[in-house]
Amino acid sequence: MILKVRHETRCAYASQVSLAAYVLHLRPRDLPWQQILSFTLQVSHESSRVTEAEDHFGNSVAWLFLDSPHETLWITAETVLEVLPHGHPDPASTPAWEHLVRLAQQREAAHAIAEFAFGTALAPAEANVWAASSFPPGRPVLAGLLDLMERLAPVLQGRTGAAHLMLAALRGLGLPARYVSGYRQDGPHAAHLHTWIACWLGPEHGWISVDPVNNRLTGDEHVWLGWGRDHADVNPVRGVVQGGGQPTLRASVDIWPATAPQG
Amino acid sequence: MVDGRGGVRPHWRGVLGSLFSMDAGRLADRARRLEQVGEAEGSAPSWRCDPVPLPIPAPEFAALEDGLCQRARLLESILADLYGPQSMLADGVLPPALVFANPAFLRACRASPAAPAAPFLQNYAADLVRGPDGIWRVLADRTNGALGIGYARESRRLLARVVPELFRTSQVRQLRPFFEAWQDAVLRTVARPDGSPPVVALLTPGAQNPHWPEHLALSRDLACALVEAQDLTVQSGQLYLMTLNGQQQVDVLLRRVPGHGLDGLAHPGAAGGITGLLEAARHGAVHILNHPGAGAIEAPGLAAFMPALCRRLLGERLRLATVPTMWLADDGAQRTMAQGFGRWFVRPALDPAPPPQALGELSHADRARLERAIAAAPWQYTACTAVTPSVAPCHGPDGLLALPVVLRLYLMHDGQGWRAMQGGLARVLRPGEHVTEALPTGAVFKDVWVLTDESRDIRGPDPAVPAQGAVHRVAAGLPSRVAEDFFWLGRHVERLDAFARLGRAGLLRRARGAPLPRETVELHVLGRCLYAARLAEAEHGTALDDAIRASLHDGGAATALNEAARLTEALRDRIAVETHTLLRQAIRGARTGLQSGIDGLVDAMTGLRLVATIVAGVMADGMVLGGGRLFLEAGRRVERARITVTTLATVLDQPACRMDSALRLVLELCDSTITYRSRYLSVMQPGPVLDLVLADTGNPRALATQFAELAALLAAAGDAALAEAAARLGAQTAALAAQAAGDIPLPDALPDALFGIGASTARLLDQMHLRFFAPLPAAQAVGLALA
Repeated sequence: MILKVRHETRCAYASQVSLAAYVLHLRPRDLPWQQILSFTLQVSHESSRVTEAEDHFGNSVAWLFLDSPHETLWITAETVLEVLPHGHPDPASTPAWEHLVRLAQQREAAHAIAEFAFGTALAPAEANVWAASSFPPGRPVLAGLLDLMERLAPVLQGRTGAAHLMLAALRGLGLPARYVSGYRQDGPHAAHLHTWIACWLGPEHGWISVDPVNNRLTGDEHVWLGWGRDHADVNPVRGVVQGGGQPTLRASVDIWPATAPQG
Repeated sequence: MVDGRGGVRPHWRGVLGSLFSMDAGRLADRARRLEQVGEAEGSAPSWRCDPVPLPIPAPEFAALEDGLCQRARLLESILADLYGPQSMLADGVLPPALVFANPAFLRACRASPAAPAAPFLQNYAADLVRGPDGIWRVLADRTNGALGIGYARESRRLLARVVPELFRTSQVRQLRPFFEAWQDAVLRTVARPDGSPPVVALLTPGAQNPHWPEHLALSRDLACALVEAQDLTVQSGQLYLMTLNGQQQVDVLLRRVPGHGLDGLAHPGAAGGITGLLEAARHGAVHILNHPGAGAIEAPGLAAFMPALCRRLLGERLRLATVPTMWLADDGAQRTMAQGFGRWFVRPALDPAPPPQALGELSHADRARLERAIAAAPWQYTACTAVTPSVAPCHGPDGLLALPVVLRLYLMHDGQGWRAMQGGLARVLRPGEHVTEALPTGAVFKDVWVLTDESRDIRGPDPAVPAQGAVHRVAAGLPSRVAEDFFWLGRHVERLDAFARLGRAGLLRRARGAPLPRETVELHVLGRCLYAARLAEAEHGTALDDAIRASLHDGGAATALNEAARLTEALRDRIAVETHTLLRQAIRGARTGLQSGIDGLVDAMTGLRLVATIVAGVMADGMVLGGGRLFLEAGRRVERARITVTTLATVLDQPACRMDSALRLVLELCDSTITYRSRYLSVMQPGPVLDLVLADTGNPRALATQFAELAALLAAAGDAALAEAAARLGAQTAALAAQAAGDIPLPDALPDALFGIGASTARLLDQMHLRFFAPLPAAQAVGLALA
């Protein structure tokens, strides 16, 4: 399935801004189930400067610098991507959760995974008795994860910070879990910025992602921008401005089926 | 100090010989003088220098230098791996917890592609302790800036000045070559395309930082600009210093700010910082020394892995021992600790700041709490064996005292290899002080002497200093912030002078007792003048006493004095040492005088005027006109114009019957009584009086003089339009005086016309601020909200 994504961010300043700099995580990540066919980034301001790189987590990142005074700013990212189907394992076939906690503490095998087992300011790893009851000894990890999400559903439905709450619970148990930033399609021409999590299920299954806000495993309605430890690592648009009164940032996202670009 | 058999170790003989040849009184006198000199030069109370140095024989120091050079190479390799391939993590040599949970590990510095391989470390300091076995062991590595190196050099200077006789019996290696080589190495970091030397700046958190005196001393030793984050801006991918002459590119930034506080864009929590700095550094547009992420290596838990890392990364055995350390998440570490808990100190594995806690000294409850915390997250803790530093003789209240010392040595990479400063800083641990990482305020330091090994040094002094490294003067423009600080110092000092002038006139009248009706009126007029000049806030009553009290309590005079004191400190790096000392003492004296109650105030007013005299005379005399002094003068002139014009308007705003007394007061307040008498005897005529205080540009207190001077200064600062505006105000003033000269009595409109000139002066002030100092608005973080 080929999709076109348009993400427009409008930065409205109450007064003139002398200098502005932004860190942008707007280019969706190339993944086995998501291939980027084209990407363009447009900025309303002419004399802006953009540099691009790959961040610590392997996400595409761009820095946007505006050195001349301005009063408004639009940042528009357009992506054409192909979403490929990807399945999820049978929960019963996943390893026991304690086994993963032990694996994550082993040095060599899991050094890249261990990073996501430590707490952060937004998602601290705190022992949580309530979360622990979804993980009795020996329970397959995905079964425990789905159970926890189910139990939390009434609290998490449509709630901001649901992903952080889940991350804190999982990290509290010692399970490595990532914060994912992206978009979710609700229907044709109806989409929004969205966040979910990915949990590590061992070397065989890798990272499996769940959408706590909607109480389900992620599917092809999710478009992945990138991941990190929490929101601060992969906020799609974040920056520092000098001046501007009290600036507000508003994002609008549109996703619709498209055809593959020529060439 | 003594060997195992109770004999004095040979390298102490010279120092002790000199000390014992002084009687106890003389040593105490030297210690007192060290403190006085330190205080006068502004180092105290942040630290104190002990009169007894710590000598280290050449062979012992050579072994330390060799070991530390290896350690510096090792730390460099570890950092290159952590911010690069992370193979030490992948191979399991290093546990992920010590890296990924470490707040000093900056992920922003791992963006790729990174700048072409710049070294991570350029300077490095190590804390060492010597155990009872006589072996030096590394206690901590410091890579976030060689804190204390400026104190080391100051200690040597102070000691050589105050206790020169000590140096006569020992051959001591000099510190200077190290600083010259360091300065050279910094300049060689970058080659500018046009061949000109790179611009180097030392980034300090500011004058309020307890270690600011060191940053200042270091910037002088390395001949580089001392800057704060607000002086710098990143534009078009380059780092610039905002100066009066526009923006000046900075090539090398020596940082005294932790890595996560450098850039609010990279680290959203960082208040202040220089937006975009890390991105500029990633492209190699600016070199930051040390690398912003270098602090990651300071995590105390890493000490446990140094021997293994050294074998893996350098293929060498670690030559200098580390204080035995265990990471408590390692197998068996907690058991080992439990078996002999009295021997162990526990500290966080990641944060180098908290001091180690002796397990044996904790109360039962505290120990249980700590043990629970360790059991819950053992990876957050590390334990090292109890360190009992060896003692050295120090000056105490009753002669010499044996106190434990921690040694800090400094290294620098000169482009080819590491080299150690031939000296160091020894911190005396007074009773109750811990072997902590940070240098506490009020610490006592000893100068560290590396004694000359005659067999090796016989060929003369070290020829390491290349000839071209002798003199480097950085032609950095005056930062706008500094110009503004000078401007405000001028303004505040002038305010103090005006306050003292008005206050003194009133207090003298009051002191005569039973005032005449004329004097009662004058007292009220003087009170109104204070309000009109905005030296006192609101009219609590027109009585002069009330106005003075209000002003001193929390009004204009109090603010001006506090600000003058603050700016004197902030501008310390721009003022001659003697002037700074003099000004500081005068401000302190004035402050003491003002606390003596209203009766002692006449003297206090004289004290305030002394502050103004120092600024006007001594300070200006010792400075070139460009830059700072120009703005200091401009600040004084514009403030004097503002206050003179409101004062004249207020005093002259009286009925015609009181005009004689008003004119006398005008002359008194403008310091012009004597001139007037010599010209016109004592007949009060409005025309000549107004000419003298308004238009006579030969009179330093006349209003027109202030505008004329201001116009000249503004022209020198390069703004013709503002100079023209100031000159216009001068012409207006002269015209007003000429117009009033013929009229007897004075025209009613005169006070209003004067207030009009006052308003124009205020507008001119606003324009000057906009033109010269307009700062960038404060930075604020923005971002899409959490979805």
